[in-house]
Amino acid sequence: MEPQATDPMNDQPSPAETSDGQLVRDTLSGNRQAYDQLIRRYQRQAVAVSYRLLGNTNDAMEVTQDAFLKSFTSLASLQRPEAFGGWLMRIVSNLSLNYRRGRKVRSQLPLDDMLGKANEQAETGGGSEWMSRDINPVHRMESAELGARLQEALNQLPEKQRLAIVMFTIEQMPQKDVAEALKCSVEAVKWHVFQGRKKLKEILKDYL
Amino acid sequence: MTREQLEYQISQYVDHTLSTHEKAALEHRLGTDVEAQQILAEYRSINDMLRTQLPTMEEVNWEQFASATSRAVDEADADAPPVTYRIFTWSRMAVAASVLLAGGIAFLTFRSGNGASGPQPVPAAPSQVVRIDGPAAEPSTQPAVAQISVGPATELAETQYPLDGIVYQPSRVSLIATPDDTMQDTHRSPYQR
Repeated sequence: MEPQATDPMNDQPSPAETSDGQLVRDTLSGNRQAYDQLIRRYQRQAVAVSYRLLGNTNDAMEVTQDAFLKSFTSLASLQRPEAFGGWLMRIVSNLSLNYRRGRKVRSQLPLDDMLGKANEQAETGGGSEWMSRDINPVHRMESAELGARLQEALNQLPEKQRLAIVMFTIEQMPQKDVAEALKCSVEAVKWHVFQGRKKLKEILKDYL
Repeated sequence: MTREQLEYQISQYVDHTLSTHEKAALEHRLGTDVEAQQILAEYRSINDMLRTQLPTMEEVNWEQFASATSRAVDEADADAPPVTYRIFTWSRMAVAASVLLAGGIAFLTFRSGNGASGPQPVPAAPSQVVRIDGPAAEPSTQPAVAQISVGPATELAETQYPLDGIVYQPSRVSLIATPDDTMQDTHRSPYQR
């Protein structure tokens, strides 16, 4: 079960909270804690998007860390600080697609060590410090085939349509953020979603 | 409205991105159009599947992940110049580029304004003429093969004012590629048509 939107580690900014634009400006002024807030604000969304493109949580986390590093080092080049979320997702999706194409992203952290510990615990049926699996066998049996078919269908979509479906329909990102991530207009996002949906309907007609 | 347009509207309806007016019009149509209802049901089904049936990501300890990412950023930041330094560096470079550009434009403007000291035309380099001599014409060793006959036949000259004919009538020209006189056209009057 994924953390809910109320998870304090993953809250999107409320009107009372500091805006993305302000956090970006604070970071550029030398306030490193401001960037930590951005990490906490977007880490779940970034890992989720990457996971939908890669199909593997470990790879998604690795790519997400790399994306946060890249965004930090090139933060000064961000034209509109308030568009940080969409800009970060563009970095995440580009890195994920590159990762899929075979280019290995250098790990910046000893993730393997941490996940190794987690994997050992998972193998013995224990919980993990980092991750825990959904071990409900009934749920997994029921959804396994359809889930695999859905993932396969998603992978068949053209890149823009797949990204639009993943970010807008599945992760329910705001359309303007998706538009920023895809470097297109909001209208184009609607069109990509529609075209992707039409193709999915055709591919999955036996399940509808 | 084509089926494609209808499907696009229904897709936006599912996403709640239609305008109020478009939404009302579509809902009115959905009340009676069975085909539209079918499309709507399919799109909603796809949305539900995408949100509930895809393989779920393993749970992540977000607090630890955030801390680890933050440490990675710290490590990367320690290797790089401070952000503020980078900003000032970029600012300085931008200012220097602007000054150079402005100076260059002013210099060119000043030079073109004086006129006399403007760029001088560069004389063209002298062109080279290359003479190529082909094979020289060889004089023929054979007798001429063409004769030209102008004017009326000689037997008509006395009686039919051949000079008038030459002056007032088109002359005849016979070109015969042989010196043989018998082959010449001497039997037609220049007045004949």
